[in-house]
Amino acid sequence: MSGPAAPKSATVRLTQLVTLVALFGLLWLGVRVVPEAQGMAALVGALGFLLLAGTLASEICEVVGLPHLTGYIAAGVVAGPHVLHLIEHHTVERLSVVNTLALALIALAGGAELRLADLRATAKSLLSAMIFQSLIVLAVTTAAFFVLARFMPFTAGISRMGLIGVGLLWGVLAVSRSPSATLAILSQTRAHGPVARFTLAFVMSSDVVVLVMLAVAMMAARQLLDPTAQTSFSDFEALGHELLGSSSLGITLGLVLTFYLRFVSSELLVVLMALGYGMTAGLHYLRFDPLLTFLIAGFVVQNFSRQGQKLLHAVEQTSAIVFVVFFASAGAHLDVPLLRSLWPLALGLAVIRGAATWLAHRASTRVADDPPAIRRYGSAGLMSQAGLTLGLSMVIAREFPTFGPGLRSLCIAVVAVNEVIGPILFKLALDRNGETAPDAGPRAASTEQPPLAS
Amino acid sequence: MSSILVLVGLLVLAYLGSILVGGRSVRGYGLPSGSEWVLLGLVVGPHALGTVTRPTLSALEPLALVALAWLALVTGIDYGFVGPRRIRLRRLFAAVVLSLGSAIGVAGAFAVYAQTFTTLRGHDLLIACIGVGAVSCETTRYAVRWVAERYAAQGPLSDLVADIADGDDIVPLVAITVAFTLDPTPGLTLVLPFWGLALATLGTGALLGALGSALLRVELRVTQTWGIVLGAALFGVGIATRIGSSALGLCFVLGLALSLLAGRREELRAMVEPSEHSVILPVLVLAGAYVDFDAPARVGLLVAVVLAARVAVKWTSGALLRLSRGGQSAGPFLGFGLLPSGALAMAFGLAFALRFPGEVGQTVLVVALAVTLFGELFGPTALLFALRRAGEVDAPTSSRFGRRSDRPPARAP
Repeated sequence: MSGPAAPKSATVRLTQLVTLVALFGLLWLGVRVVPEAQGMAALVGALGFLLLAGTLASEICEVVGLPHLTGYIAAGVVAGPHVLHLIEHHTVERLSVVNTLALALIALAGGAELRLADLRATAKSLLSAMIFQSLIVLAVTTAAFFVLARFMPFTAGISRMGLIGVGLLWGVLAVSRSPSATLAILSQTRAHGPVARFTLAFVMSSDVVVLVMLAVAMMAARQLLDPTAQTSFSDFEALGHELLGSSSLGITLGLVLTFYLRFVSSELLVVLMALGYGMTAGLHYLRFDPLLTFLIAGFVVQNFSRQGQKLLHAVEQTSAIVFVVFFASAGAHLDVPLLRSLWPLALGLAVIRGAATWLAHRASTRVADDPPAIRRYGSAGLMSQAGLTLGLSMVIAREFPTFGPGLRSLCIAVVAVNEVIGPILFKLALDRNGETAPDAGPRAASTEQPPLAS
Repeated sequence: MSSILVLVGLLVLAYLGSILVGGRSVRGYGLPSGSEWVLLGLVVGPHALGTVTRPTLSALEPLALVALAWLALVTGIDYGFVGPRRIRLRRLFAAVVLSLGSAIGVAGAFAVYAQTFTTLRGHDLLIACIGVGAVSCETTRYAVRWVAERYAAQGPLSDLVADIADGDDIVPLVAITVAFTLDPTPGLTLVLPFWGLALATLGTGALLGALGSALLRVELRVTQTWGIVLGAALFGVGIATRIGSSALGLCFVLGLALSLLAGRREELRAMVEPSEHSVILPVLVLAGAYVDFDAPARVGLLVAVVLAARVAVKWTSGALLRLSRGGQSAGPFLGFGLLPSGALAMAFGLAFALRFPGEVGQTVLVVALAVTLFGELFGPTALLFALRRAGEVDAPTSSRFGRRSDRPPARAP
């Protein structure tokens, strides 16, 4: 991972700022000269621009102590289709091809960061947090949704019981967190300590819990929306298929990677890219969850072989590129007009979710008798939401076409708030608790292996 | 076949490429110019077995373009150097002049052929001539390196040929930029003459290189360095493609500017060189898959004319090189030793085929294929003879059965 650089001089910061402005100017000129760009030109250009602008914006964010991730998102938002219109909407949609790989690598890194010893050591905390977070956040946000439903046009005509069902779906969305944002912050800060360990373990493992909760909530929502409907366990069947299939494939992939790392180990990045694209396509076809599969694969390599560090090293070397592209394109994707129209509601729901998370954290840490650091700062890492939540909202939109799209729009607006605020809170907590790596200074290029080299 | 499968296939090729081309243990095996991979692409492509279909190829066009531009970027970063050794300016100039002469010679012969036997006229003919000249003028450094490593050649002639093969890359890259700007994207709001557009393209590459260098001078972390280099390259590709210009020309200048201005040429070279190995094989296979023999008129005659012209100009180049100090002992085979042409020629051909679908692009790609295969047959052998005659390789017994010499390579690649 690229660690925090040594403090850079004002001249360096000025160079970065001038370069950032020049890049925006160059793209602006390109768009003015050819307003209707070909798809290919726009896609590749946008990718390069986001990579450069995101990197530079993140460096400038460092000056005011903001996480890099905020810079990546800001670059995307400013250049995106809703602010400067330098990157068109259809181009942003096409960037999802790159995100496929990014998600695979992020999940693999997430699994490889989870150590069995850490999980055992924090098992009580995790279990307690999982129960309290799931129940309290679900209950509070469901209730809040029910109360605020009158301000949501897409709930018009839904019965009171139906509103509880929709609220439950909202509650599940609120329980979900962002593994990618967590990893991005940990990658930047190279934080080590109780808060970092707890957050990582909780966010990664809660992915499975959220999938189960969504299946239950969908079944309940169907009943509440239409009491005459017969109870269907098809969602559970699908869930079982998804969880078992993803786990089996994840273990298999983990073993394959272990053998590869043990006996060949060369050109790891190319191998990971092929696996990222190939397996994700296959997993989508089989209706398995790629995030869970890669997460388990990384976990297997880390905990059931001696190859974990090798895998982590390979994935980490790509982190500066993967995270920039992933979050800058997420920023470009951010629907600013929607946020503008829904901001009071979105802000209100985000605040309620934050408060519920904090409350649940207080209760769970008290029960688990967690150390003061986790009690004090542990909730900060649980605020971020990003791709996983949006993915779940897409499932809901598909399964409930009458109100699903409206719920998804609201979800996008709330995620936009949490996506920006969450990482800042998490970094602040890590800084305050002294877990951020001490200033390592810039690492000389010659001392590191280039990512594309074996 | 789905585009994801093809993409995974290309990544497998990239994997093989990095091992076969880059792996020290097996480098020097396979064919010098990588023609077997071009043939593989040809066989699985839409015009032979059809395993890879036309829509699949279209879906992979962005990837192909980025791969081509990346090759140009790496060429730019390494331009003017053979390994750690800087090429002397006089040799660089000689390489450019000989390459330019070759391009003009072959393009002239093609023009005569095209005016007699094809319907290409005016604008299209000019673009096709530049394209044919561009893919026919260079000598691939990969084949020269292959011969040098396989037979452990070292000496003044080896250095001379390596310098010429490295130094001549600039001519086709500039030629392609000019050719592309002759047919800019319709709807440009800024009207510039073709030379203005070409200068704007190369200038944008230089500007991006300067910006990237300014960042690289203050950024020492490798992962960030990768972000800057990759980001600049992709952004450059986007800008060039947007205005209908050549991403290859832009990226070449970008790489050159990074190399000259960042003050970290050796580090940059060490960083990007392995990626070059990974990119070559997929590019060769994709180029092969794009070849359509039906598009150009009278393919047989076209190939015969171009090859005859190329042999003539390369023989002349060899004769001129023999007048220099390093080439005096080479003998008459030196010119034929300059015939190999591979990855870059195919890359240029593919760039033309992507940019000018139809007769113009396919004519250039077919010519690139022909010069690559022909160069593969005669070039390395002729170069070996020339090097032997100059006493710069081992006795024949050491490599009679195609085995690597036990001697270490003459220099780092």
